[in-house]
Amino acid sequence: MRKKIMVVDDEEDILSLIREILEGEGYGVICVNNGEEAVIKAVELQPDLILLDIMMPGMDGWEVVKLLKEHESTKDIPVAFLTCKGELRDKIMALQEGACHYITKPFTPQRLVEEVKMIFERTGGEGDK
Amino acid sequence: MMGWFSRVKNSIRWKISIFITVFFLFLFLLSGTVVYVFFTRNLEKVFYETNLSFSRISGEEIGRIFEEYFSGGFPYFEERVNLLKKMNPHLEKIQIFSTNGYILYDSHLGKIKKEYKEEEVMERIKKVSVTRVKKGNYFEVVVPIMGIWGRHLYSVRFLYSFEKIKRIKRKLGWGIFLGILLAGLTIFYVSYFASKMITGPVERLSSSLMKKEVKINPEEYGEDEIGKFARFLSLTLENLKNALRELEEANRAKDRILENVSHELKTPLTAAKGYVEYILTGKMGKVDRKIEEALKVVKRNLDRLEGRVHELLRAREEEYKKEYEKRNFSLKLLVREVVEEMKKRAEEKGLYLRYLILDELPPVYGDREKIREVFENLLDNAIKFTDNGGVEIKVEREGNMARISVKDTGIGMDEEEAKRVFDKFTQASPEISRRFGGVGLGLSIVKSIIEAHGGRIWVESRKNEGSTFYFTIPLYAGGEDEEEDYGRG
Repeated sequence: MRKKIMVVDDEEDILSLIREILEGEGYGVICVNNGEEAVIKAVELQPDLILLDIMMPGMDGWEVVKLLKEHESTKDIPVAFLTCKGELRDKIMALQEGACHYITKPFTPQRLVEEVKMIFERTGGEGDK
Repeated sequence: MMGWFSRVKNSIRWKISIFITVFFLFLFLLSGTVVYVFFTRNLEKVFYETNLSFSRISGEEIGRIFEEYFSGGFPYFEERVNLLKKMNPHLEKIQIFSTNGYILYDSHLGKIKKEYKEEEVMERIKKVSVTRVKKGNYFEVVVPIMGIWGRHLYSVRFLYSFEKIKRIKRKLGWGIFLGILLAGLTIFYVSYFASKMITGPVERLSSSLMKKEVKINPEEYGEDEIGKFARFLSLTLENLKNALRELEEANRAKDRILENVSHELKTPLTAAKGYVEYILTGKMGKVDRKIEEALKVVKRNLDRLEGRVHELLRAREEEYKKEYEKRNFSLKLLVREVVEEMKKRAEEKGLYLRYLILDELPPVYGDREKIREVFENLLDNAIKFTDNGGVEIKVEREGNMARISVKDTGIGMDEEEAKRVFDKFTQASPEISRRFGGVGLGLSIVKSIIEAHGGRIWVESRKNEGSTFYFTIPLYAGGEDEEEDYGRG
């Protein structure tokens, strides 16, 4: 079964870039451009990984993580932040909030793919292609 | 003694009260002396005059009763003499001499006949007028007593003691002295408390300024001069606080803007760079050589843009990062390391890069990585702006600091440019900025690092003749105990 990855970002261009890269690697990609929809879709579609931007208009990344961790059916889905906030205190805060990974922008396609693979390895599932 | 002295020196209150006390003590002492001298002079004068007239009057009396002595008997005579003696407390002794020097009567010894030897007294005994003489502790009056036909019968000698007068003088002196002392103490006490009217509010003011939460309540200080000062001070403080608050707000606003700007810059960069890189991997379709070349140019420029954005953010972080990991390290080894690292770049441009350690130095004390950054930044600039010649580093000792100079033979700066070179977002000129890149944050970071170490940085430069950057960093003060661990990080 293909791994489903949900990407949440308010920038359409970044969404399409990530879709391009990850679909090229054989993952199923769900793109969402705001926080509210992300929570609803996550409950509904149960993705295997969520890549989440922090700075979004409306509900931001921190709130999305909080809601996901509160909800029974989504609390075990790994979440990785995808953001340009590169400071150490943001990283520490992210880990405290329950995000398992932190990918800083700008990223190269290779790095994104490697990071995603690494997360799947760590959380137990093997990435089918 | 010294403690006492410095206590007085550092307290207006003590100074005022001591000054006033000394002044009044001096005044009192002066007037006290005048009173004492005037009073004792008059006292003595009165003493002499009273006793003289007393002698005259009682001389007559004694002459008369001495005649009666032969008829009335000795006890009667003695009783009368004792009565006279009781009337004048200063009277010590009464003697009666015959004209040829025999003591006919002495009030101490009773009736005695004895030759008197003292020539000086003999002269006075023989005189027919009243004589008086001050003699040691005594005042002596000799009164001649005449018979019916004007014959000189006897002389009566009165001896008056100064003892009582002296006692009065002494008492007066002590009285004046104690009075002055008491007055001095009172004046000191009063002036000490009066000066509290000045020093008290001032002390309260300064202690409320020393507190962490500086706050002055001008109502506490009334309407006098200090009250006005307090009101003015509190107004100034309020203004300062407002200015500080505004400054902090402006700073925060600047941070927010910087953060937003960098976010706004990074997002499109991520998309653009990501796509270019992804296309270059060939996974979106075959890329032919010409397009690949073009895309590489695009990518290189995007990388540069990204570098500038990073630099912008670093400057902000640097401002907040005040914590340095300071330890001792050898400046010589650091210089050697950095020069090794930069040598290749210099050689590529055909420049020399060398260093001179002029003095034997103890280890310097600071954050090695930060100081390394300083060197890298200065050398990077020096190489960037030099096309002929090269760069030279010199390390010297200047007191308890190490002075380092980085000298290049590059394009140099004029005075105006040299002045602004350490400011943020400053590059010598737009033309230079275009030619050499960078947004001009490097040197402002360098400056903040050096200043955080307690050092100084400055530049000497002339247009077209090259620039020399100087900076100082503190040497390790505790001697040369540990010579650096060489490893990095």
